[in-house]
Amino acid sequence: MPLKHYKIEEKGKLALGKVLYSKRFGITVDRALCKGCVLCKLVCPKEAITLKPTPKSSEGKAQSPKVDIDETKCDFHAICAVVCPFGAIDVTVNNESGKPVVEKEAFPILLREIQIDSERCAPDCKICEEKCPLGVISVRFEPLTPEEMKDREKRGLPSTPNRTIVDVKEELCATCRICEAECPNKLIQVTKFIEGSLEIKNDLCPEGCHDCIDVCPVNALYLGEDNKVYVNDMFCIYCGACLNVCPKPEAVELSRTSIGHSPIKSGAWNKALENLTSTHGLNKELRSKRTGKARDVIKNLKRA
Amino acid sequence: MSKSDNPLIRPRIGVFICHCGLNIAGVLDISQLVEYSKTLPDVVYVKENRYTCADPGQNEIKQGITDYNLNRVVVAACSPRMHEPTFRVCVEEAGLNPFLFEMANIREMCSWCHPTQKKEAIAKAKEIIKIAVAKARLLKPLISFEVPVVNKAMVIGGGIAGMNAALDLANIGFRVYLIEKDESIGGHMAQLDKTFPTLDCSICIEGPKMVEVARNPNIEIISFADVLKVDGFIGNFKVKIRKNPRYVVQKNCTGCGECADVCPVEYPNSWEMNLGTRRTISVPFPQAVPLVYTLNKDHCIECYKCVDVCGTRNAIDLEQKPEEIEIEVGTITVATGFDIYYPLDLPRYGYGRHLNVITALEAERLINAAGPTGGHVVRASDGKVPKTVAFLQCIGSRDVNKYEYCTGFCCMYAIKEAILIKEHEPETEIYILYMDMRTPFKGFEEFYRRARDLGVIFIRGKPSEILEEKETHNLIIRAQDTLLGEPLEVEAEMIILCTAGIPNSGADELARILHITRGTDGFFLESHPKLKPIDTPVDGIFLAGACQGLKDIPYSVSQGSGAAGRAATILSKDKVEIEPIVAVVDPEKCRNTKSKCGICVSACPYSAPFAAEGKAAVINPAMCHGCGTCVADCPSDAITQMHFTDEQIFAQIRAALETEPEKKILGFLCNWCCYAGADLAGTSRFEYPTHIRVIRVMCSGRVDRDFVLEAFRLGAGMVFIGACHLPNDCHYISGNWKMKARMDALQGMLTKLGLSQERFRVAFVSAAEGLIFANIMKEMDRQMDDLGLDKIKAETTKIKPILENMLKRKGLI
Repeated sequence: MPLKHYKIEEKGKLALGKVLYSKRFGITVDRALCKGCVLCKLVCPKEAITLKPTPKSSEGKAQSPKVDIDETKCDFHAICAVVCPFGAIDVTVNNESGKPVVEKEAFPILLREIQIDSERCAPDCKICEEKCPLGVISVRFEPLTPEEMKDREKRGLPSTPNRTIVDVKEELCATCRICEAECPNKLIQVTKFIEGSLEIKNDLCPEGCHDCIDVCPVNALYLGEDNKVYVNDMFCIYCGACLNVCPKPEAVELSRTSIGHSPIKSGAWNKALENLTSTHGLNKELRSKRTGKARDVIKNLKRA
Repeated sequence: MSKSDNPLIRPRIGVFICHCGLNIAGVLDISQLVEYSKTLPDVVYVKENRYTCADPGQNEIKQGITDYNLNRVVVAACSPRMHEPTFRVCVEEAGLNPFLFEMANIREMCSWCHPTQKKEAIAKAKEIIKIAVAKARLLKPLISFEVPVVNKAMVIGGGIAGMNAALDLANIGFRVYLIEKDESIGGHMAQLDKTFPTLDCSICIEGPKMVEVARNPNIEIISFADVLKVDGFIGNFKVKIRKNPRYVVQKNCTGCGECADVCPVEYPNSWEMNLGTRRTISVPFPQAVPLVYTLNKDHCIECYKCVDVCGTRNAIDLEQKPEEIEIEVGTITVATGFDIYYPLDLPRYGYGRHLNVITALEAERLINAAGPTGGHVVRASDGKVPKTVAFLQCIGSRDVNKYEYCTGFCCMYAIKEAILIKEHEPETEIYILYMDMRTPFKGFEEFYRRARDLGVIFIRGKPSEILEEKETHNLIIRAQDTLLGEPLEVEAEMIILCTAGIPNSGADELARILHITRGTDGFFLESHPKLKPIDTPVDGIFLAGACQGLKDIPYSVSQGSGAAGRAATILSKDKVEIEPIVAVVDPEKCRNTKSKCGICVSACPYSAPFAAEGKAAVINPAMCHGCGTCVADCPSDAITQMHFTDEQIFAQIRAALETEPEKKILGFLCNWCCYAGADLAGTSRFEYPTHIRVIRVMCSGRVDRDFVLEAFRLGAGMVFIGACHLPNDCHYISGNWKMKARMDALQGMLTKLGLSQERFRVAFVSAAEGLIFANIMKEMDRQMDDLGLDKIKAETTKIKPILENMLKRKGLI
């Protein structure tokens, strides 16, 4: 049978793929998880991803553009899946999820460092789950045995009949740090994987427009008392969803400066980093890698 | 200056009239012809012979030349197609230039075709001699010239035919450049599992051959390269080739494959029929020759993992650019092979719609142990081994709506694949639905019996409908068992389609670059389908393998060796002789010096003329084949064809129409087709009326408008032009097309001037159509009768002044 391509939009997912006799490649984009940012489009080496603008909803709310992938161009190596902050893209080879480009050590994974000291959680506290804008945290309680309760008392932990178990779907977490800010007991530590800056020059905004606030996936933008748009720097993940819908793009000054990732030596990563941040951002990382290497060489020399 | 070409010396013509036993003498009174010939001006010696072509006859010619100081010789005997070469040699041996010789055809075109019309036949024979003498008076000596030969060969295409041609040439001792457009040589044979009828493993027998080609010091393989341009002529071809970038440095790559191991991206492998994948940097198959990896930049994400692992070998260069090289060779052999037809436009068979319908080459890759499924023939829908397999023959072949020809090897490969599947999975039920089982060659019929003995079921019938079962993806074939005369339905779990072989996709581009033609079926056209299946009309370019016509492996190998032999006849010499019947431009008359013309350039199918801006056109004599089409097309009459000059032809026309022109048909017949057809009419003794007076030209393209005008000015009853059939029969490729366009326009003009349409006729007669020629002559005789002499004369009187003005303006009268 000849090579077959398919693309189906159903059940809130975009599914497309390539079917050969002995191998199947597939990609699924979960429309609920995709927030219409711009990162996958920037890193695709074949420029197979396009964003289709979506009209405003019936209530006048701005909506993020829809992602479309050209199934004939896609090579299914999963660079887009790695870079997606929301984990909306899933790549399958022979119906098994995977990221070929990571498995072959040609691309790193983004480091989502999330530390939750759930032992110290206040009893029955679910604030992190409630406040998470992406719904990736689920808190459940399991009853403690009397021995465990006594052990907790000994260690000075707050007394509670139930153990709090906090599950975080890490691949879907965009490291916005809202949970960190909202935890009443400061038990959460999150490191953003994308560093950057976002400035909204709100005197350039069209009158009464707050499209960016409508689409921001992590509620990092808010309306001030003067009815103008302001940025909450701590929460912004620099994804660019706001920039995509802004009717006056000069008002948005967005830059990404560095990206946290596992150790890697790859030309593909260098290109992706340059596309995501800037040539300057790439040079910075290369310089630090270089000095790191030089330092190791000298260290080994000293040892020898 | 020898006495033969000194214009101050009048021609001294000797006429030798042959009895040819009773063939000529039985119908024509030879003594009358002798007496008549003596009366012709410039004829100083006439002799009759019983058999002029035999030694005594030839000696008489030589004696006559010496004794009577002859400087022109006319032999009135059989057809020049028979003995012109014989007498040219004879005349040369007597010290006369061989081109100062002319033949008068009084056998095939007179005695043999007018046996019962003795009175008219003798009158015609006299005029045939008169016409020949008229031309002989104006003949000039010509000298064949030589061009040097570059003793290197090129073979385009590295399949089984091309490799054999290259090996034979290399082993004779010539340097060979083997150009292959794909990454590896080997062609389609490398994709096969086993070959019929011996069931030899294909790559096992081909692999060593590929290595032999790579190792031979006389062969340079230039792979992953395209031919861009070919200039030149036999012995001296200049070929421009572009080596496409592999992004791998060929001399550094050891073929170790470490780069492919670390590459993260894979893409469908077209060598595996898109059944499996290959890495972005990879070889198409493990036995590739040369074993050099190629990086496909379309899929490369530039991670540089391959560069890292290659390390100090430095074989990968992502900045590599295409390289253009120019090679000089003496001959080119085209062995570009064939493609497979994918029946995506025949939805009836379900290819591309139903999962379990595949083509035979895809099945071959499945059966092959090195293929993408490890040698297991499994279904695409569920990966299971099918319990019933059906082969459908003649998909696209033998179909007037698709490809009319029979591909020739599908019956055999269907039997082969059936036997292989039976051997892997003996429980499989196999059906072959055929139209005819064609198993003609050595071992083939026995192979067919072997399949039947193994239990393969052969059903004579072509399916009309194929339905797919939704859940199982099984296929229901509806056909008619024509031997039983009953409809039948077969449920198969897999269908293998035996599709047509088609001309390779790059064939039309290559045909354009090499100036060779393709037949109506799209395969390259050979010089003669029976006697010259390897030559092309372009001297020095040969064909081998499936590109000339679909054939299987042993036939391709033979033709490869044959092409090597043909090429060697040229390469083994230092020089090659070019016949001097070529066209020459008079630079004083050429219009291109004053305004942009270039008509001769577009008339020529061989690219022989070259017209630089502002300069007179120049014709490369080595590329000119002597058809004369440019001569007739030239608006300034600036081109002359040696041995068929305008003066000579006008002299023939005037000689033919000197007496009673209104009763005559003046015929211009092309040497290769119509003249040969007319000869055949005589040989077959088909009798026809005697009206026609024939003027032989090499190609109908030579026939100038002015010849026709002059003929009608002199009062010819009818004018006839006989040419090779359209579209592809012209020996000079397109001469007949140019003639047709020219004469269609002329017919319009003459009809407007008041000439009856039947009086000017263009017909297409092949060398095999003697009967058709005779019938045309009979038809034209009837038409002349119907018109009547009075009408013909009246029309002539009317248009004569107009034609005279036209011809006077051109300075022709």
